[in-house]
Amino acid sequence: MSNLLRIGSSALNAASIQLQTTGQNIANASTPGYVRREAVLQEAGNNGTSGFIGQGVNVAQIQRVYDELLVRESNANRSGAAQDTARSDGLNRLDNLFGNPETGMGAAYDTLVASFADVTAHPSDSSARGAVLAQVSAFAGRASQIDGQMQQLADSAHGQMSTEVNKANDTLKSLAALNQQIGNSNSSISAPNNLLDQRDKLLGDLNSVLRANATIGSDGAVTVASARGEPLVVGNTFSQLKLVSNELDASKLDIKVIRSNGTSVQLAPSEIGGKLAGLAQFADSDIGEARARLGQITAAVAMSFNDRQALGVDATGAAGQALFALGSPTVSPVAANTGTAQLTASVTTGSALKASDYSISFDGSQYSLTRLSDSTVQSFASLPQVVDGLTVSLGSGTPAAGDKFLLRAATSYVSGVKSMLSNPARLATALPVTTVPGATNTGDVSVSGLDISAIGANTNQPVSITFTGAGTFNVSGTGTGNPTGLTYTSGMTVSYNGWSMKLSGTPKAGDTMQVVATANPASDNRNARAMQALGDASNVDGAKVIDRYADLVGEVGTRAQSAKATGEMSQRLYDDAEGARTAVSGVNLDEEAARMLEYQQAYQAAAKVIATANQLFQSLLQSFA
Amino acid sequence: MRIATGYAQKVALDGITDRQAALIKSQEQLSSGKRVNRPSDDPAAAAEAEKVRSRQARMDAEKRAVGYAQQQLSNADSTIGDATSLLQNARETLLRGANATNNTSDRFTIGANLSAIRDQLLAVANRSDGTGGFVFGGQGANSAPIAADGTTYNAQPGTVQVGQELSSPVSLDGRANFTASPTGAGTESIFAQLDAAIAVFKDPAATAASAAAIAQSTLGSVDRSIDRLGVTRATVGERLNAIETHLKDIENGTIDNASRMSALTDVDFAAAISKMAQNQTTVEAALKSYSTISKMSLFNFL
Repeated sequence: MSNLLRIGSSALNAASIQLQTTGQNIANASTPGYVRREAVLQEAGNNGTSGFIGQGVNVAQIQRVYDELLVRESNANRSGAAQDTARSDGLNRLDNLFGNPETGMGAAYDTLVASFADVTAHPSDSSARGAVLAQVSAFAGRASQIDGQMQQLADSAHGQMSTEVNKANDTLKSLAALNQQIGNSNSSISAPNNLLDQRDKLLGDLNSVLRANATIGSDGAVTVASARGEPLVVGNTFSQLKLVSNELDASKLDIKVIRSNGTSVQLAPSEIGGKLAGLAQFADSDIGEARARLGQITAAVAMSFNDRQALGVDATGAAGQALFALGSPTVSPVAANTGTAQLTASVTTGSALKASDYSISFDGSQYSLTRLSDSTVQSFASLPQVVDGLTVSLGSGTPAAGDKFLLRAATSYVSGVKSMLSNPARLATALPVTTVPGATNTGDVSVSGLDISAIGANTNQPVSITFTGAGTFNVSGTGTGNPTGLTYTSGMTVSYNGWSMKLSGTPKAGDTMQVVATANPASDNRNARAMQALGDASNVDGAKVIDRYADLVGEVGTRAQSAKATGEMSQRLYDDAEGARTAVSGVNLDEEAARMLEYQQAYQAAAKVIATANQLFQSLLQSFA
Repeated sequence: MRIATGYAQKVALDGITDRQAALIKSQEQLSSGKRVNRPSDDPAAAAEAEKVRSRQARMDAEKRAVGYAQQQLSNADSTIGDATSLLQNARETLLRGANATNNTSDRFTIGANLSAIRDQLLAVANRSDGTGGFVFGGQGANSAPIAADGTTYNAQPGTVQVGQELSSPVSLDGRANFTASPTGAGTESIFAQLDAAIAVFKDPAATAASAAAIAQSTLGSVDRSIDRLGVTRATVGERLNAIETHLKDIENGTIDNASRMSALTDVDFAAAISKMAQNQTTVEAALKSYSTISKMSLFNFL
C-alpha cells in the first residue's frame, strides 16, 4: 500500500511536471530562439522486495527538442540569405538612380549635342552660344550628381557594415560569456536549457552578420570559427572585428580580426560572408564598377569636346579654350612601400580611356600595371608609359622591389568635372581658316573636307595654290616652303600649317585656291558642326557615348534583377531550412493543447491511484474496528 | 509533419506581403503607364530605350537645323525672285534705251530709272536673312556683304551649311551672283555694268548712239545675271525639295521611334489590368485564408 501511494505520488509529480513543461512551451510559443521542451520520463526502479512491480515514474530530464544538423543548415542558409539580400537591397537603390531616362546622363548628353546643332544655325547669336555653355555645365552637373549619389550609396553601405561589425562584436563577447556560464552549470544533471537557447539564438544572429561555423564540445561550450577557419570564440576567449581600409585601395573596407592575444589578421569581406560580404560587394564592387563606367564616359565626352574646341577659333578669332575641366587621375603608394617613388598619371587620349582603375607593382626591375576591371597585366622596364590613354610617369624618388601603387583613373574624373567657359563668345564655333577659290577661275576645281589637325603658329597664314595646268600646281605662303611643279590629281589631299583639304575637279592654268584666315569667325559655324558630329562619334573606347551609357544602364538593371532573384532564392532556402528546424524545435499550440489534455488526464489518474491507496488503507483500518 | 505555430504564421504573413508587393507593382505600372520603371524591370529594354531616346533627340535637333535651312532657303528663293524681277525691269528699261532715237531728256529719264532699279537691286542683294545674317552673306558677314560700289564683297565667298545627315546651305554666295560673276572670259559686277550705263544715260554730253550701244552691251550683262540667278534659284529649289523629303523621313523616323519606345517600355493596359485584378484576387484570398486559419485552434474547443 505504501508502495502504491509512492507510485501514485510519483505519477502525480510526473504529470505535474509535464503540465508545467507544456505551460512553458505555450508561454514561449513566440519567443525568439525558444526550443520546445519535453519532460523525459523513466520508470522508477524495483525495490526488490515484492517482485518486479517497480516504484512508479521519474522525470529523468527536461529535454530541448532539436536536431543539430537542421540548426547548422538554418544558420548556413541564414548567412547566405543575409549576404544576397543586403546586396540586392543596395542594387535596388542603385537601379532607382537610373530609373528615369529623361533625367539621366544620356539625356543630358543629347541636350548638349542638340545645343551644338542650334548654334550651327545661329552662330552669331550669343544666346545660342550661351545655351551651349549652359548645357556643358548641365552635363557636368548631371555627371557629378549621379556620381555623388552613387558615392552616397557606397558610404551608406559602409555605415551599415560598421553597425553590423558592432553587432557581431557584442555577439562574440556574449557567446564567450555564455560558454563560461554553460560550463559552470553543465556539471549538474539538468542541462541549462535557457542558456543553450540563448547560445543558439546568438549563433543564428551572428550568422546573419557573417558566416560562422560552430562546434559544440562535450562540455557544452561552443567553438566559433569564420568560414575560412579563423577562430572567433574559443571557450571564454573571443576575437573582435574592426573595419579597416584596404591596403591598396583605401576607399574599400577590409575586416581585421583582432584575436584575444592581441595578434590580428586582415580578411576581405568576401572571406567573411554574411551581410558584411553583401554590403561590401555592393559598395566596393557594384558601385565601384558603375562609377568607373560613368567616369570613362564623362572623361571621353569632356576630352573629345575639349580637343575639338582646341581646333577651332572663338568669336574673336582666338584659339578655343577647354570647355570642360576634369578630375585628374592620382597614383597613391601603399603605406608599406619601402621605396621613395611617387608616380604620376595624366590623361593623354580621352577616347582610349577604359572604365577601370589600375594597380601598379614594381618587382625590382619591371613595373607591372594591372587593369582592375579585367585583370589584364602589362609590364614595362621603365616609365613613362602610355597605357589605355593614360601616361604614367615616375614623378620623383626611386621604387623598391615589392612596392605597390593604386592608380585611381576612371573613378577620379567625375570628381572634378565642370564647365570652364562663361563667356558665350569663347565658344569656338569657327575654323581658323577658310578657302576662297579664285574669282576668275575657269576650271571647276573645288574644295571639300577642310579640317584642322592642330593649330600652329602658321595655321592662319594665307596660302595660295596656283594651278599651272590641269595636272600641276605651285604653292606659296609662310610655312609651306613654296613648292612648285607639284602633281595634281582630282581627289588629292593637300595639307600645310595644320590644315588639310581635299581638292577635286579639273583646274585650268591660272586657276587659284586661297587658304586664308577666317574673316568673320563670329558667324562661322564649321567647328560647331564638327562638335555636333561628335554626338554620334565612336569616342568612348571605340563606341558611341550613348551606346556606352545604354550598356551602363543595362548592366545596372541586369545586376539588380539577378541580385533580386538570387536574394529571393537564398531567402527561400533559409525559410525552408528555418521551416525544417522549427518543425522539430518550434512550438505547435494545437499539439500542446492535446498534450495538456493528456497530462491532465494522467494527473487525474495518478490522483485516483493515491485515493485508491487511501481507500485500501481505510478499509484495512475499518476491519480492525 | 508537425509545423510550429509561429512559423506557420510567418509563412502566411510572408505570403500576404509578397502578394501585396506584386499588387503594388502592377498598380505602379498602371499609374505610370510604363512597364519599365527602372532598368531592372527589363534591362535589355531599358538599354535599348536609351538608344531610341537618343536617336529621337538627334532627329529633333536635325529637324530644327534643317527646318531653319528650309526657312532660310524659302527666304532666299523669294529674294532671288525679287532680284530677278528688278533685273527684268532693268532689261525693259535698257531695251527702251537701246533705241538710238531717244533724245537727251528721254535718255536722262532712262538713266534715272536704271539708277533707281540699281539701288533697289543693291538693297535686295544685301537683304537680311531675318536672323542677324544676310541672304547673300557667303561664308558669314557681320555687315551688308555687298559694298555701295557694288564690286566689293565684304564677306568670304561660299555658303554656310547646317545639318548632319542632309547638309543644306543657309546663305548664298554674293560674289558669284553679284560682285564678280564669271562671264566665261573673266568676271563682272552687275552693279558696275549698270553704273557704267547709268553714267552714259545721265550724261547730257553723251550721244544717242553711244547710249544705245552701251544699253545693248549692258543688256548682255543683265541677261547673264538673270540666267545666273535662275541657276542659283534652281539649286535652291532642288535643295528645298531635298529638305522636304528629309523632313518627311524625320517625321517617319519619329513615328517609328515612338512606336519602338512604346513597345519597349509602355505597359500593355489590357494585360496589366487583368494582371492587377488577378493580384487583387490573390491578396484577398490570402487575407481571407489567413484570417480563417489563424482562428483555428484546439484551445477553442477545450
